[in-house]
Amino acid sequence: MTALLTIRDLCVTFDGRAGKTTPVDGVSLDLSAGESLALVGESGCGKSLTALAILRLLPHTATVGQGSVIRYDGRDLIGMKDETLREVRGAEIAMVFQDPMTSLNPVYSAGSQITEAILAHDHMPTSQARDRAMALLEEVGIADPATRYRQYPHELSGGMRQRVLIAAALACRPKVLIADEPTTALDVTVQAQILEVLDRLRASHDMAVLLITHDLGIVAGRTDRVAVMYAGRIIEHGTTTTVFSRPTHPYTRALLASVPRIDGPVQRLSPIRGSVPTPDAWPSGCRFQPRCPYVFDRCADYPPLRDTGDGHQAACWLEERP
Amino acid sequence: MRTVDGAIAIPRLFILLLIVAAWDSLTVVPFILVIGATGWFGTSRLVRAEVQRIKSEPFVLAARALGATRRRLILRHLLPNAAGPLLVAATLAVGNVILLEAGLSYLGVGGVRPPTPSWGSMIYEGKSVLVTAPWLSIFPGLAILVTVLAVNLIGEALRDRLDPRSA
Repeated sequence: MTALLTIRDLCVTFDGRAGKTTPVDGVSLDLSAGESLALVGESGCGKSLTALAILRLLPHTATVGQGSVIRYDGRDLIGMKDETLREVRGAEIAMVFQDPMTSLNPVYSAGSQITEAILAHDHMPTSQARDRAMALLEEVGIADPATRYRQYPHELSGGMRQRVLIAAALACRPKVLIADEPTTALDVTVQAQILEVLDRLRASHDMAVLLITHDLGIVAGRTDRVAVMYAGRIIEHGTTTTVFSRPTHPYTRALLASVPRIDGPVQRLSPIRGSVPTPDAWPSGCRFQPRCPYVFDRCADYPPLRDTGDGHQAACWLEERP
Repeated sequence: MRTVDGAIAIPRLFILLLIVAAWDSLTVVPFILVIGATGWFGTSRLVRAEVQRIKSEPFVLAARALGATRRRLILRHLLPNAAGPLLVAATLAVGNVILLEAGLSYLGVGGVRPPTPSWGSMIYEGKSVLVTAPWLSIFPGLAILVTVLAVNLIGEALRDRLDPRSA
């Protein structure tokens, strides 16, 4: 299967007062049509920057590395003209953000923001766009769309707003949806509903979904593949089933051990010691070594992402340890 | 912005006096234009600060991610959200301008000349008889007060009405 979205060796660099930092350092990903991929990692590991880099929405202070490649459907997104890229945004690749409270413009009604997203790419009479927005609201599971259409963001609940944002993202039938922590700001019950909406729409629109999250719990049984990120790099990648049943990298194992389970015997949760170091404090060699319980002398070299034989890849020397 | 900073540093009355003095017979319309041309510096700073703040709001990023054009971002997202402070500044400016004209007329350099009346020149004319007939100056003064107040109240009401959060 050829990939719809290809990321190769993506580097994002900030040139700050304290010198250069590279919070995204050589990330490669593939996303095929209709497929779902979860990008998992703690706060500060570079997953959101990776997502923003795809649509060139990084802050001005960030630069994308020379050798980085981002291709969508055979087209180069990094070197693309601004106007052409604008046509890709929303129409081909759409994005949903973390905070539904502030991601809607407070001065317009919820519905008119969906209509606006439609009119940004498709030329049609406003009344027709409004009908389509109404249909989209219904599709994302909003009851009484006619009333909700007219309401302002502050009159809607968090879950409702996230549905509106998803509807706006789907307005032009994109082939790829990037969801950056779409449920982090929501209640657990609403989280499940939103994820279910995303799943349903992915199937019905044959849309690829890149789900970015720090919560392994919402990934299980939901996405086709998982990529685990740590300190700017992907350290483990494979189908969701293999990664969950046979986690190879100590970081993935530690992440899984820190998620409460409702099946199996009750165990104490084991947190991971410390926190992700900031990009200026990354150690040379394996970046997880300060927190890794299995660290040995090989860890002074950075382990490349290698096949571990069972259809998934990990970046750890432990496999080779005699 | 640096130019604007420089322009703010020069007192407005001074610039106006210079222009009016250099211009022999300034009629009403150019006079209004001159007042307008020297009055936008402070407001532009205000709008700039406001736009800078709104630019970093997540909804702007969200709109960009869905393919909004630059023009659309400015007209539909940035300006309407900056409307509140802008409106307040505009209504305050109306009061200021009336007072400015009154001041210039009082100094005898206003663009409004007899027989066209202006409140400022009316106050000025009442000056010589201030003790015997104070109402000649008091009533134009009251009229200025009421107008400035009215415009400010209208501005405030408009701002409340335009903000959907307080509707």
